[in-house]
Amino acid sequence: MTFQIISGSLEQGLVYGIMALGVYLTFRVLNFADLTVDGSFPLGGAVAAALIVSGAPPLLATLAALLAGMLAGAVTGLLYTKLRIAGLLAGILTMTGLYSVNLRIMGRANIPLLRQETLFTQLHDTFANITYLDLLFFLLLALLIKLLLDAFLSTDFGMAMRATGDNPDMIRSLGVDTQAMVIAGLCLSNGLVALSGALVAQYQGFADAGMGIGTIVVGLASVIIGTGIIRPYTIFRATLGALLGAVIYRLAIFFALRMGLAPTDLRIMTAVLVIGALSAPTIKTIWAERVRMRRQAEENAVLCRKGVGDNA
Amino acid sequence: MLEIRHLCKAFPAGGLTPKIALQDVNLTVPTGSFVTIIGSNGAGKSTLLNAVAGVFPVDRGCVMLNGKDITFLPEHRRAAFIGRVFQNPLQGTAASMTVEENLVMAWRRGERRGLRRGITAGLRRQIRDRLSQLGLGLEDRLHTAVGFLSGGQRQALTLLMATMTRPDLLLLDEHVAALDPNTAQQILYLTEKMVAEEGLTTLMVTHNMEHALRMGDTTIMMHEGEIVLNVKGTKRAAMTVHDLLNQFKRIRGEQLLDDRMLLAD
Ligand SMILES: Nc1ncnc2c1ncn2[C@@H]1O[C@H](COP(=O)(O)OP(=O)(O)O)[C@@H](O)[C@H]1O
Ligand SMILES: [Mg+2]
Repeated sequence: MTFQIISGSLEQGLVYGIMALGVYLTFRVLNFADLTVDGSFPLGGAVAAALIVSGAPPLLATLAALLAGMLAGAVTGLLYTKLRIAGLLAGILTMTGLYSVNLRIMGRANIPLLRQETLFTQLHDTFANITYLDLLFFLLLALLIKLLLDAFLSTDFGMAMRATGDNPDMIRSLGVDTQAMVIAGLCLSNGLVALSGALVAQYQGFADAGMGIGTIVVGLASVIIGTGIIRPYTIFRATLGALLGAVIYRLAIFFALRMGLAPTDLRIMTAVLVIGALSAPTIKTIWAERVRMRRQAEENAVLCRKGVGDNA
Repeated sequence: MLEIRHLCKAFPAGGLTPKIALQDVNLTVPTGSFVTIIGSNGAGKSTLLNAVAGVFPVDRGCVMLNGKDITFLPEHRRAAFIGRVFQNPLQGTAASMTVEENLVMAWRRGERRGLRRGITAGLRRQIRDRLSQLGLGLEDRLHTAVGFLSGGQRQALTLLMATMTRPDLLLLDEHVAALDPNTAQQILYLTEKMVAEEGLTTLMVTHNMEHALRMGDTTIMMHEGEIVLNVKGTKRAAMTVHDLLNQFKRIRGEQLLDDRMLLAD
Protein backbone atom coordinates (compact mmCIF):
# COMPACT_ATOMS: atom_id res chain seq x y z
CA MET A 1 0.00 0.00 0.00
CA THR A 2 1.35 3.39 -0.90
CA PHE A 3 1.31 6.50 1.18
CA GLN A 4 -0.89 8.16 -1.41
CA ILE A 5 -3.85 6.03 -0.41
CA ILE A 6 -3.85 7.19 3.17
CA SER A 7 -2.80 10.79 2.56
CA GLY A 8 -6.46 11.72 2.10
CA SER A 9 -7.28 10.30 5.52
CA LEU A 10 -4.36 12.16 7.07
CA GLU A 11 -5.58 15.41 5.52
CA GLN A 12 -9.08 14.84 6.84
CA GLY A 13 -7.70 13.91 10.24
CA LEU A 14 -5.72 17.13 10.46
CA VAL A 15 -8.51 19.43 9.31
CA TYR A 16 -10.98 17.76 11.66
CA GLY A 17 -8.21 17.93 14.24
CA ILE A 18 -8.72 21.72 14.35
CA MET A 19 -12.32 20.98 15.32
CA ALA A 20 -11.08 18.47 17.90
CA LEU A 21 -8.87 21.18 19.45
CA GLY A 22 -12.03 23.25 19.87
CA VAL A 23 -13.81 20.33 21.50
CA TYR A 24 -10.79 19.76 23.75
CA LEU A 25 -11.09 23.34 24.97
CA THR A 26 -14.70 22.97 26.11
CA PHE A 27 -14.80 19.30 27.07
CA ARG A 28 -11.48 19.00 28.88
CA VAL A 29 -10.45 22.54 29.82
CA LEU A 30 -13.83 24.05 30.69
CA ASN A 31 -15.40 20.73 31.65
CA PHE A 32 -18.42 21.58 29.50
CA ALA A 33 -20.01 19.18 26.99
CA ASP A 34 -20.87 21.66 24.25
CA LEU A 35 -23.28 20.46 21.55
CA THR A 36 -23.17 23.80 19.75
CA VAL A 37 -20.43 22.14 17.70
CA ASP A 38 -22.92 20.24 15.52
CA GLY A 39 -24.28 23.63 14.42
CA SER A 40 -21.14 25.76 14.38
CA PHE A 41 -19.23 23.34 12.15
CA PRO A 42 -21.72 23.61 9.25
CA LEU A 43 -22.07 27.32 10.10
CA GLY A 44 -18.41 27.73 9.24
CA GLY A 45 -18.93 25.87 5.97
CA ALA A 46 -22.05 27.86 5.14
CA VAL A 47 -20.52 31.28 5.83
CA ALA A 48 -17.36 30.49 3.88
CA ALA A 49 -19.22 28.98 0.91
CA ALA A 50 -21.84 31.72 0.69
CA LEU A 51 -19.16 34.43 0.81
CA ILE A 52 -16.95 32.70 -1.73
CA VAL A 53 -19.85 32.23 -4.15
CA SER A 54 -20.68 35.92 -3.82
CA GLY A 55 -17.12 36.78 -4.79
CA ALA A 56 -15.34 37.36 -1.49
CA PRO A 57 -11.63 36.44 -1.24
CA PRO A 58 -11.35 32.91 0.25
CA LEU A 59 -9.13 34.02 3.14
CA LEU A 60 -11.62 36.67 4.15
CA ALA A 61 -14.49 34.18 3.83
CA THR A 62 -12.61 31.74 6.08
CA LEU A 63 -11.96 34.39 8.73
CA ALA A 64 -15.62 35.44 8.60
CA ALA A 65 -16.55 31.80 9.25
CA LEU A 66 -14.32 31.80 12.33
CA LEU A 67 -16.02 34.94 13.63
CA ALA A 68 -19.47 33.47 12.96
CA GLY A 69 -18.50 30.38 14.99
CA MET A 70 -17.35 32.57 17.86
CA LEU A 71 -20.70 34.32 17.81
CA ALA A 72 -22.50 30.96 17.98
CA GLY A 73 -20.35 30.01 20.97
CA ALA A 74 -21.20 33.30 22.64
CA VAL A 75 -24.92 32.56 22.26
CA THR A 76 -24.55 29.21 24.04
CA GLY A 77 -22.38 30.88 26.69
CA LEU A 78 -24.95 33.59 27.36
CA LEU A 79 -27.80 31.05 27.55
CA TYR A 80 -25.78 29.04 30.06
CA THR A 81 -24.36 31.80 32.26
CA LYS A 82 -26.84 34.68 32.14
CA LEU A 83 -30.11 32.81 31.58
CA ARG A 84 -29.00 29.77 33.62
CA ILE A 85 -30.06 27.17 31.07
CA ALA A 86 -28.34 23.82 31.64
CA GLY A 87 -25.15 23.47 29.60
CA LEU A 88 -26.22 20.53 27.46
CA LEU A 89 -29.57 22.13 26.72
CA ALA A 90 -28.01 25.52 25.92
CA GLY A 91 -25.82 23.81 23.30
CA ILE A 92 -28.75 21.88 21.84
CA LEU A 93 -30.84 25.04 21.58
CA THR A 94 -28.11 26.97 19.76
CA MET A 95 -27.41 24.00 17.50
CA THR A 96 -31.10 23.66 16.62
CA GLY A 97 -31.42 27.37 15.88
CA LEU A 98 -28.26 27.28 13.78
CA TYR A 99 -29.78 24.72 11.44
CA SER A 100 -32.23 27.38 10.21
CA VAL A 101 -29.55 30.06 10.28
CA ASN A 102 -27.27 27.93 8.11
CA LEU A 103 -30.01 27.33 5.55
CA ARG A 104 -30.69 31.08 5.50
CA ILE A 105 -27.03 31.87 4.96
CA MET A 106 -26.74 29.36 2.13
CA GLY A 107 -30.15 30.04 0.63
CA ARG A 108 -30.41 26.31 -0.14
CA ALA A 109 -29.28 23.03 1.37
CA ASN A 110 -26.05 22.71 -0.60
CA ILE A 111 -23.54 25.08 -2.19
CA PRO A 112 -21.05 23.51 -4.62
CA LEU A 113 -17.64 25.21 -4.75
CA LEU A 114 -16.13 23.19 -7.56
CA ARG A 115 -15.58 26.00 -10.04
CA GLN A 116 -14.95 28.65 -7.39
CA GLU A 117 -11.70 30.09 -6.22
CA THR A 118 -10.99 28.66 -2.77
CA LEU A 119 -8.01 28.63 -0.40
CA PHE A 120 -6.99 25.37 -2.05
CA THR A 121 -7.14 26.53 -5.69
CA GLN A 122 -5.06 29.55 -4.60
CA LEU A 123 -2.65 27.30 -2.77
CA HIS A 124 -2.18 25.06 -5.80
CA ASP A 125 -1.71 28.04 -8.09
CA THR A 126 0.99 29.45 -5.81
CA PHE A 127 2.90 26.25 -5.04
CA ALA A 128 2.25 24.20 -8.14
CA ASN A 129 5.30 21.95 -7.83
CA ILE A 130 5.00 20.71 -4.23
CA THR A 131 3.71 17.16 -3.80
CA TYR A 132 1.28 16.46 -0.98
CA LEU A 133 0.59 20.19 -0.84
CA ASP A 134 -2.79 19.82 0.90
CA LEU A 135 -1.32 17.50 3.48
CA LEU A 136 1.57 19.86 4.17
CA PHE A 137 -0.81 22.81 4.43
CA PHE A 138 -3.10 21.05 6.91
CA LEU A 139 -0.16 19.77 8.91
CA LEU A 140 1.39 23.22 9.28
CA LEU A 141 -1.93 24.92 9.98
CA ALA A 142 -3.06 22.35 12.57
CA LEU A 143 0.30 22.49 14.34
CA LEU A 144 0.30 26.28 14.29
CA ILE A 145 -3.16 26.40 15.85
CA LYS A 146 -2.15 23.77 18.41
CA LEU A 147 0.90 25.79 19.45
CA LEU A 148 -1.11 29.02 19.62
CA LEU A 149 -3.67 27.28 21.81
CA ASP A 150 -0.87 25.97 24.08
CA ALA A 151 0.55 29.46 24.40
CA PHE A 152 -2.89 30.92 25.08
CA LEU A 153 -3.56 28.41 27.86
CA SER A 154 -0.38 29.43 29.67
CA THR A 155 -1.19 33.15 29.71
CA ASP A 156 -2.86 34.73 32.75
CA PHE A 157 -6.15 34.65 30.85
CA GLY A 158 -5.70 31.04 29.75
CA MET A 159 -4.76 29.89 33.25
CA ALA A 160 -7.87 31.57 34.64
CA MET A 161 -9.91 29.70 32.00
CA ARG A 162 -8.37 26.38 33.02
CA ALA A 163 -9.04 27.13 36.68
CA THR A 164 -12.66 27.97 35.80
CA GLY A 165 -13.08 24.44 34.46
CA ASP A 166 -11.23 22.92 37.41
CA ASN A 167 -12.56 24.88 40.40
CA PRO A 168 -14.78 27.90 39.69
CA ASP A 169 -15.16 28.78 43.41
CA MET A 170 -11.41 29.05 43.79
CA ILE A 171 -10.71 31.26 40.79
CA ARG A 172 -13.72 33.45 41.54
CA SER A 173 -12.31 33.98 45.03
CA LEU A 174 -9.17 35.26 43.27
CA GLY A 175 -11.13 37.90 41.39
CA VAL A 176 -12.00 36.24 38.09
CA ASP A 177 -15.43 36.56 36.48
CA THR A 178 -16.02 32.85 35.80
CA GLN A 179 -19.09 33.51 33.65
CA ALA A 180 -17.02 35.67 31.32
CA MET A 181 -14.42 32.89 31.21
CA VAL A 182 -17.00 30.29 30.17
CA ILE A 183 -18.34 32.59 27.46
CA ALA A 184 -14.83 33.33 26.17
CA GLY A 185 -13.97 29.64 26.12
CA LEU A 186 -17.11 28.73 24.19
CA CYS A 187 -16.36 31.54 21.72
CA LEU A 188 -12.84 30.37 21.11
CA SER A 189 -13.86 26.73 20.84
CA ASN A 190 -16.66 27.31 18.36
CA GLY A 191 -14.46 29.69 16.40
CA LEU A 192 -12.02 26.83 15.86
CA VAL A 193 -14.86 24.45 15.02
CA ALA A 194 -16.28 26.84 12.43
CA LEU A 195 -12.80 27.41 10.98
CA SER A 196 -12.52 23.66 10.58
CA GLY A 197 -15.96 23.60 8.89
CA ALA A 198 -14.93 26.39 6.50
CA LEU A 199 -11.76 24.51 5.53
CA VAL A 200 -13.62 21.21 5.09
CA ALA A 201 -16.19 22.87 2.80
CA GLN A 202 -13.44 24.32 0.59
CA TYR A 203 -11.42 21.13 0.68
CA GLN A 204 -14.30 18.82 -0.28
CA GLY A 205 -15.75 21.34 -2.75
CA PHE A 206 -19.16 21.98 -1.20
CA ALA A 207 -20.98 23.13 1.91
CA ASP A 208 -24.01 21.19 3.02
CA ALA A 209 -26.63 21.94 5.68
CA GLY A 210 -26.25 18.38 6.97
CA MET A 211 -22.45 18.34 7.20
CA GLY A 212 -22.50 18.94 10.95
CA ILE A 213 -24.40 15.87 12.12
CA GLY A 214 -22.30 13.92 14.60
CA THR A 215 -19.41 16.41 14.65
CA ILE A 216 -19.38 16.56 18.45
CA VAL A 217 -19.13 12.79 18.71
CA VAL A 218 -16.22 12.74 16.26
CA GLY A 219 -14.59 15.53 18.28
CA LEU A 220 -15.09 13.65 21.54
CA ALA A 221 -13.81 10.44 19.95
CA SER A 222 -10.66 12.30 18.84
CA VAL A 223 -10.05 13.82 22.26
CA ILE A 224 -10.61 10.48 24.00
CA ILE A 225 -8.43 8.51 21.58
CA GLY A 226 -5.80 11.20 22.06
CA THR A 227 -5.89 10.81 25.84
CA GLY A 228 -5.44 7.07 25.35
CA ILE A 229 -2.32 7.46 23.24
CA ILE A 230 -0.63 10.39 24.94
CA ARG A 231 -1.18 10.80 28.67
CA PRO A 232 -2.18 14.47 29.05
CA TYR A 233 0.28 15.42 31.80
CA THR A 234 0.82 18.82 30.18
CA ILE A 235 -1.20 21.09 27.92
CA PHE A 236 1.32 20.47 25.15
CA ARG A 237 0.70 16.74 25.32
CA ALA A 238 -3.07 17.08 25.67
CA THR A 239 -3.52 19.22 22.54
CA LEU A 240 -1.10 17.01 20.63
CA GLY A 241 -3.24 14.07 21.71
CA ALA A 242 -6.42 15.71 20.41
CA LEU A 243 -4.79 16.29 17.01
CA LEU A 244 -3.34 12.80 16.84
CA GLY A 245 -6.64 11.34 18.01
CA ALA A 246 -8.43 13.03 15.12
CA VAL A 247 -5.91 11.60 12.64
CA ILE A 248 -6.08 8.12 14.10
CA TYR A 249 -9.87 8.26 14.04
CA ARG A 250 -9.78 8.99 10.28
CA LEU A 251 -7.26 6.23 9.67
CA ALA A 252 -9.40 3.79 11.67
CA ILE A 253 -12.41 4.70 9.54
CA PHE A 254 -10.37 4.32 6.38
CA PHE A 255 -9.30 0.80 7.29
CA ALA A 256 -12.73 -0.16 8.63
CA LEU A 257 -14.29 0.86 5.33
CA ARG A 258 -11.66 -1.09 3.40
CA MET A 259 -12.45 -4.11 5.50
CA GLY A 260 -16.06 -3.88 4.41
CA LEU A 261 -17.79 -1.69 7.00
CA ALA A 262 -20.84 -0.05 5.39
CA PRO A 263 -20.36 3.75 5.35
CA THR A 264 -23.86 4.09 6.82
CA ASP A 265 -22.68 2.23 9.93
CA LEU A 266 -19.90 4.70 10.62
CA ARG A 267 -21.82 6.78 13.13
CA ILE A 268 -22.90 3.84 15.27
CA MET A 269 -19.29 2.66 15.29
CA THR A 270 -18.15 6.09 16.44
CA ALA A 271 -20.85 6.27 19.10
CA VAL A 272 -19.89 2.83 20.41
CA LEU A 273 -16.25 3.85 20.47
CA VAL A 274 -17.02 6.94 22.56
CA ILE A 275 -19.35 5.00 24.88
CA GLY A 276 -16.63 2.40 25.37
CA ALA A 277 -13.97 4.97 26.13
CA LEU A 278 -16.18 7.00 28.48
CA SER A 279 -17.41 3.95 30.39
CA ALA A 280 -14.08 2.13 30.55
CA PRO A 281 -13.12 3.52 33.99
CA THR A 282 -16.53 2.61 35.49
CA ILE A 283 -16.49 -0.89 34.04
CA LYS A 284 -12.94 -1.35 35.29
CA THR A 285 -13.97 -0.35 38.82
CA ILE A 286 -17.03 -2.61 38.84
CA TRP A 287 -14.96 -5.51 37.56
CA ALA A 288 -12.18 -5.02 40.08
CA GLU A 289 -14.71 -4.87 42.92
CA ARG A 290 -16.32 -8.11 41.76
CA VAL A 291 -13.00 -9.88 41.66
CA ARG A 292 -12.14 -8.55 45.10
CA MET A 293 -15.46 -9.67 46.61
CA ARG A 294 -15.10 -13.17 45.15
CA ARG A 295 -11.66 -13.39 46.72
CA GLN A 296 -13.03 -12.13 50.02
CA ALA A 297 -15.80 -14.74 49.94
CA GLU A 298 -13.22 -17.50 49.43
CA GLU A 299 -11.12 -16.14 52.25
CA ASN A 300 -14.17 -15.87 54.52
CA ALA A 301 -14.86 -19.56 54.14
CA VAL A 302 -11.79 -20.08 56.34
CA LEU A 303 -11.63 -16.79 58.23
CA CYS A 304 -15.22 -16.61 59.47
CA ARG A 305 -15.96 -20.28 60.20
CA LYS A 306 -17.67 -21.15 63.48
CA GLY A 307 -15.79 -21.08 66.73
CA VAL A 308 -13.56 -18.06 66.10
CA GLY A 309 -13.52 -15.91 69.25
CA ASP A 310 -13.88 -12.19 69.90
CA ASN A 311 -11.03 -9.82 70.46
CA ALA A 312 -9.49 -9.72 73.87
CA MET B 1 -12.07 48.80 58.64
CA LEU B 2 -15.01 46.49 58.02
CA GLU B 3 -18.47 47.75 58.92
CA ILE B 4 -21.53 45.53 58.79
CA ARG B 5 -24.83 47.30 59.37
CA HIS B 6 -28.31 45.77 59.80
CA LEU B 7 -27.39 42.77 57.69
CA CYS B 8 -30.30 40.38 57.05
CA LYS B 9 -30.39 37.24 54.97
CA ALA B 10 -33.08 34.57 54.66
CA PHE B 11 -32.94 31.44 52.52
CA PRO B 12 -36.03 29.90 50.93
CA ALA B 13 -36.82 26.77 52.97
CA GLY B 14 -39.14 23.87 52.29
CA GLY B 15 -42.19 25.41 53.96
CA LEU B 16 -43.82 28.79 53.56
CA THR B 17 -41.55 30.60 56.01
CA PRO B 18 -37.98 31.16 54.81
CA LYS B 19 -35.05 30.18 57.02
CA ILE B 20 -33.60 33.32 58.58
CA ALA B 21 -29.82 32.91 58.53
CA LEU B 22 -28.78 36.46 59.48
CA GLN B 23 -30.90 38.76 61.56
CA ASP B 24 -29.91 42.41 61.85
CA VAL B 25 -26.19 41.75 62.24
CA ASN B 26 -24.05 44.76 63.20
CA LEU B 27 -20.30 44.45 63.51
CA THR B 28 -17.35 46.82 63.28
CA VAL B 29 -13.89 45.37 62.73
CA PRO B 30 -11.11 47.98 62.94
CA THR B 31 -8.23 47.70 60.49
CA GLY B 32 -5.71 45.15 61.68
CA SER B 33 -8.13 43.55 64.12
CA PHE B 34 -8.49 39.75 64.27
CA VAL B 35 -11.99 38.55 65.18
CA THR B 36 -12.78 34.94 66.05
CA ILE B 37 -16.35 33.73 65.57
CA ILE B 38 -17.99 30.87 67.42
CA GLY B 39 -21.51 29.49 67.58
CA SER B 40 -23.37 26.21 67.16
CA ASN B 41 -24.07 24.57 63.81
CA GLY B 42 -26.48 26.60 61.71
CA ALA B 43 -25.90 29.77 63.74
CA GLY B 44 -25.14 31.74 60.57
CA LYS B 45 -21.34 31.98 60.79
CA SER B 46 -20.68 30.81 57.23
CA THR B 47 -23.58 32.88 55.96
CA LEU B 48 -22.02 35.97 57.53
CA LEU B 49 -18.67 35.33 55.84
CA ASN B 50 -20.36 34.50 52.53
CA ALA B 51 -22.40 37.71 52.73
CA VAL B 52 -19.23 39.74 53.29
CA ALA B 53 -17.54 37.95 50.38
CA GLY B 54 -20.56 38.57 48.16
CA VAL B 55 -21.44 34.95 47.39
CA PHE B 56 -25.12 35.95 47.32
CA PRO B 57 -27.05 39.23 47.55
CA VAL B 58 -28.25 40.11 51.05
CA ASP B 59 -31.87 41.04 51.77
CA ARG B 60 -31.20 44.12 53.84
CA GLY B 61 -28.37 46.21 55.29
CA CYS B 62 -24.91 47.00 54.02
CA VAL B 63 -21.28 45.96 54.10
CA MET B 64 -18.57 48.61 53.98
CA LEU B 65 -14.87 47.99 53.67
CA ASN B 66 -12.44 50.86 54.31
CA GLY B 67 -15.25 53.35 53.87
CA LYS B 68 -16.40 51.91 50.55
CA ASP B 69 -19.89 50.43 50.26
CA ILE B 70 -19.42 46.99 48.70
CA THR B 71 -22.96 45.69 49.31
CA PHE B 72 -23.78 45.47 45.61
CA LEU B 73 -20.34 44.54 44.28
CA PRO B 74 -20.26 41.07 42.65
CA GLU B 75 -18.18 38.38 44.36
CA HIS B 76 -15.31 38.37 41.86
CA ARG B 77 -14.89 42.13 42.16
CA ARG B 78 -14.74 42.01 45.97
CA ALA B 79 -12.20 39.22 45.70
CA ALA B 80 -9.72 41.87 44.59
CA PHE B 81 -9.37 42.90 48.24
CA ILE B 82 -10.78 39.92 50.18
CA GLY B 83 -8.79 36.70 50.67
CA ARG B 84 -10.59 33.50 51.67
CA VAL B 85 -9.77 30.06 53.01
CA PHE B 86 -12.59 27.52 53.09
CA GLN B 87 -13.19 24.55 55.37
CA ASN B 88 -12.75 22.06 52.55
CA PRO B 89 -9.04 21.87 51.61
CA LEU B 90 -10.10 20.95 48.04
CA GLN B 91 -12.03 24.17 47.57
CA GLY B 92 -9.21 26.68 47.60
CA THR B 93 -6.92 25.32 44.90
CA ALA B 94 -7.20 24.00 41.34
CA ALA B 95 -6.25 20.32 41.58
CA SER B 96 -5.26 19.77 37.96
CA MET B 97 -2.91 22.75 37.92
CA THR B 98 0.57 22.93 39.40
CA VAL B 99 1.61 24.51 42.70
CA GLU B 100 3.30 27.26 40.72
CA GLU B 101 0.28 27.92 38.50
CA ASN B 102 -2.02 28.15 41.50
CA LEU B 103 0.27 30.66 43.19
CA VAL B 104 0.65 32.77 40.07
CA MET B 105 -3.12 32.98 39.76
CA ALA B 106 -3.29 34.16 43.36
CA TRP B 107 -0.48 36.65 42.70
CA ARG B 108 -2.74 38.23 40.07
CA ARG B 109 -5.65 38.56 42.50
CA GLY B 110 -8.03 41.21 41.24
CA GLU B 111 -5.89 42.15 38.24
CA ARG B 112 -7.19 42.04 34.69
CA ARG B 113 -6.07 38.74 33.20
CA GLY B 114 -4.37 39.51 29.93
CA LEU B 115 -2.56 37.58 27.24
CA ARG B 116 0.89 37.92 28.72
CA ARG B 117 2.76 34.81 29.76
CA GLY B 118 1.53 33.73 33.18
CA ILE B 119 4.78 32.47 34.66
CA THR B 120 7.99 34.45 34.34
CA ALA B 121 11.42 33.74 35.84
CA GLY B 122 11.14 36.68 38.23
CA LEU B 123 7.73 35.62 39.45
CA ARG B 124 8.93 32.05 39.92
CA ARG B 125 11.75 33.26 42.17
CA GLN B 126 9.39 35.30 44.32
CA ILE B 127 6.96 32.43 44.57
CA ARG B 128 9.70 30.02 45.58
CA ASP B 129 10.72 32.46 48.33
CA ARG B 130 7.23 32.71 49.71
CA LEU B 131 6.75 28.96 49.57
CA SER B 132 9.95 28.25 51.45
CA GLN B 133 8.66 30.46 54.28
CA LEU B 134 5.89 27.90 54.82
CA GLY B 135 8.58 25.42 55.82
CA LEU B 136 6.81 22.50 54.13
CA GLY B 137 9.30 21.90 51.32
CA LEU B 138 6.71 22.89 48.73
CA GLU B 139 9.27 25.14 47.03
CA ASP B 140 10.79 21.97 45.56
CA ARG B 141 7.45 20.82 44.16
CA LEU B 142 6.56 23.83 42.01
CA HIS B 143 5.61 21.63 39.08
CA THR B 144 3.55 19.09 40.99
CA ALA B 145 -0.19 19.14 40.31
CA VAL B 146 -1.88 20.34 43.50
CA GLY B 147 -4.15 17.27 43.43
CA PHE B 148 -1.16 15.19 44.53
CA LEU B 149 -0.65 17.18 47.75
CA SER B 150 -2.13 16.27 51.12
CA GLY B 151 -5.07 18.17 52.61
CA GLY B 152 -2.76 20.02 55.01
CA GLN B 153 -0.35 21.01 52.26
CA ARG B 154 -3.25 22.22 50.13
CA GLN B 155 -4.65 24.24 53.01
CA ALA B 156 -1.24 25.82 53.68
CA LEU B 157 -1.05 26.69 49.99
CA THR B 158 -4.55 28.19 50.07
CA LEU B 159 -3.59 30.24 53.10
CA LEU B 160 -0.54 31.59 51.32
CA MET B 161 -2.64 32.30 48.22
CA ALA B 162 -5.21 34.15 50.33
CA THR B 163 -2.65 36.34 52.09
CA MET B 164 0.25 36.88 49.68
CA THR B 165 -1.23 40.01 48.09
CA ARG B 166 -2.04 41.53 51.49
CA PRO B 167 -5.83 41.73 51.05
CA ASP B 168 -7.82 44.32 53.01
CA LEU B 169 -9.74 41.48 54.64
CA LEU B 170 -9.05 37.80 55.31
CA LEU B 171 -11.98 35.39 55.79
CA LEU B 172 -11.26 31.99 57.37
CA ASP B 173 -14.20 29.59 57.70
CA GLU B 174 -13.30 26.65 59.96
CA HIS B 175 -10.22 26.31 57.81
CA VAL B 176 -8.58 23.66 60.00
CA ALA B 177 -11.72 21.70 60.92
CA ALA B 178 -11.13 19.05 58.24
CA LEU B 179 -7.50 18.43 59.20
CA ASP B 180 -5.95 16.05 61.73
CA PRO B 181 -4.93 17.70 65.05
CA ASN B 182 -1.23 17.97 64.22
CA THR B 183 -1.77 19.48 60.80
CA ALA B 184 -4.45 21.77 62.23
CA GLN B 185 -1.94 23.12 64.77
CA GLN B 186 0.58 23.72 62.02
CA ILE B 187 -1.91 25.61 59.84
CA LEU B 188 -3.09 27.67 62.82
CA TYR B 189 0.51 28.58 63.59
CA LEU B 190 1.00 29.67 59.96
CA THR B 191 -2.26 31.61 60.13
CA GLU B 192 -1.15 33.60 63.16
CA LYS B 193 2.26 34.20 61.64
CA MET B 194 0.92 35.47 58.31
CA VAL B 195 -1.82 37.60 59.85
CA ALA B 196 0.73 39.17 62.22
CA GLU B 197 3.38 39.72 59.54
CA GLU B 198 0.99 41.44 57.15
CA GLY B 199 -1.21 43.01 59.83
CA LEU B 200 -4.30 41.61 58.13
CA THR B 201 -7.85 42.42 59.21
CA THR B 202 -9.25 38.95 59.81
CA LEU B 203 -12.50 37.10 60.53
CA MET B 204 -11.97 33.50 61.61
CA VAL B 205 -14.78 31.02 62.26
CA THR B 206 -13.82 28.17 64.56
CA HIS B 207 -15.67 25.58 66.62
CA ASN B 208 -12.76 25.37 69.03
CA MET B 209 -13.47 27.69 71.97
CA GLU B 210 -9.88 27.59 73.14
CA HIS B 211 -8.63 28.77 69.74
CA ALA B 212 -11.39 31.38 69.71
CA LEU B 213 -10.10 32.90 72.97
CA ARG B 214 -6.39 32.37 72.44
CA MET B 215 -6.17 33.72 68.89
CA GLY B 216 -7.04 37.22 67.71
CA ASP B 217 -8.18 40.20 69.79
CA THR B 218 -11.97 39.93 69.69
CA THR B 219 -14.41 37.05 70.00
CA ILE B 220 -18.01 37.08 68.89
CA MET B 221 -20.63 34.40 69.42
CA MET B 222 -23.51 33.86 67.00
CA HIS B 223 -26.82 32.20 67.71
CA GLU B 224 -29.75 31.80 65.32
CA GLY B 225 -28.53 34.49 62.96
CA GLU B 226 -27.65 37.06 65.61
CA ILE B 227 -24.47 38.18 67.32
CA VAL B 228 -25.18 37.41 70.98
CA LEU B 229 -21.75 38.08 72.45
CA ASN B 230 -18.90 40.43 71.53
CA VAL B 231 -15.90 40.52 73.87
CA LYS B 232 -12.48 42.09 73.62
CA GLY B 233 -9.78 43.66 75.72
CA THR B 234 -9.37 42.87 79.41
CA LYS B 235 -12.78 41.25 79.72
CA ARG B 236 -11.81 38.79 77.02
CA ALA B 237 -8.33 38.29 78.44
CA ALA B 238 -9.88 37.20 81.74
CA MET B 239 -12.28 34.82 80.05
CA THR B 240 -11.86 31.05 80.14
CA VAL B 241 -13.35 28.39 77.92
CA HIS B 242 -15.54 27.53 80.89
CA ASP B 243 -16.91 31.10 81.05
CA LEU B 244 -17.59 31.02 77.34
CA LEU B 245 -19.42 27.72 77.63
CA ASN B 246 -21.55 29.10 80.47
CA GLN B 247 -22.40 32.16 78.40
CA PHE B 248 -23.35 29.88 75.56
CA LYS B 249 -25.57 27.72 77.80
CA ARG B 250 -27.22 30.78 79.30
CA ILE B 251 -28.07 32.21 75.88
CA ARG B 252 -29.40 28.89 74.69
CA GLY B 253 -31.37 28.51 77.91
CA GLU B 254 -32.98 31.93 77.49
CA GLN B 255 -33.85 30.89 73.98
CA LEU B 256 -35.48 27.69 75.26
CA LEU B 257 -37.38 29.71 77.83
CA ASP B 258 -38.60 32.07 75.10
CA ASP B 259 -39.76 29.12 73.04
CA ARG B 260 -41.60 27.66 75.99
CA MET B 261 -43.31 30.95 76.68
CA LEU B 262 -44.34 31.13 73.05
CA LEU B 263 -45.78 27.64 73.24
CA ALA B 264 -47.61 28.46 76.48
CA ASP B 265 -49.22 31.44 74.80
N1 LIG C 1 -27.39 28.26 50.45
C1 LIG C 1 -28.28 28.02 51.43
N2 LIG C 1 -29.56 27.68 51.10
C2 LIG C 1 -30.46 27.43 52.07
N3 LIG C 1 -30.21 27.51 53.36
C3 LIG C 1 -28.96 27.85 53.75
C4 LIG C 1 -27.94 28.11 52.80
N4 LIG C 1 -26.80 28.42 53.46
C5 LIG C 1 -27.11 28.34 54.77
N5 LIG C 1 -28.40 28.00 54.95
C6 LIG C 1 -29.09 27.86 56.24
O1 LIG C 1 -28.80 29.00 57.00
C7 LIG C 1 -28.53 28.66 58.35
C8 LIG C 1 -27.14 29.12 58.75
O2 LIG C 1 -26.17 28.33 58.07
P1 LIG C 1 -24.61 28.56 58.18
O3 LIG C 1 -24.32 29.99 58.03
O4 LIG C 1 -23.97 27.63 57.22
O5 LIG C 1 -24.32 28.08 59.67
P2 LIG C 1 -22.93 27.87 60.40
O6 LIG C 1 -22.96 28.80 61.56
O7 LIG C 1 -22.94 26.45 60.88
O8 LIG C 1 -21.84 28.14 59.46
C9 LIG C 1 -28.69 27.16 58.44
O9 LIG C 1 -29.98 26.87 58.93
C10 LIG C 1 -28.55 26.70 57.03
O10 LIG C 1 -29.33 25.54 56.83
MG1 LIG D 1 -20.32 26.91 58.64
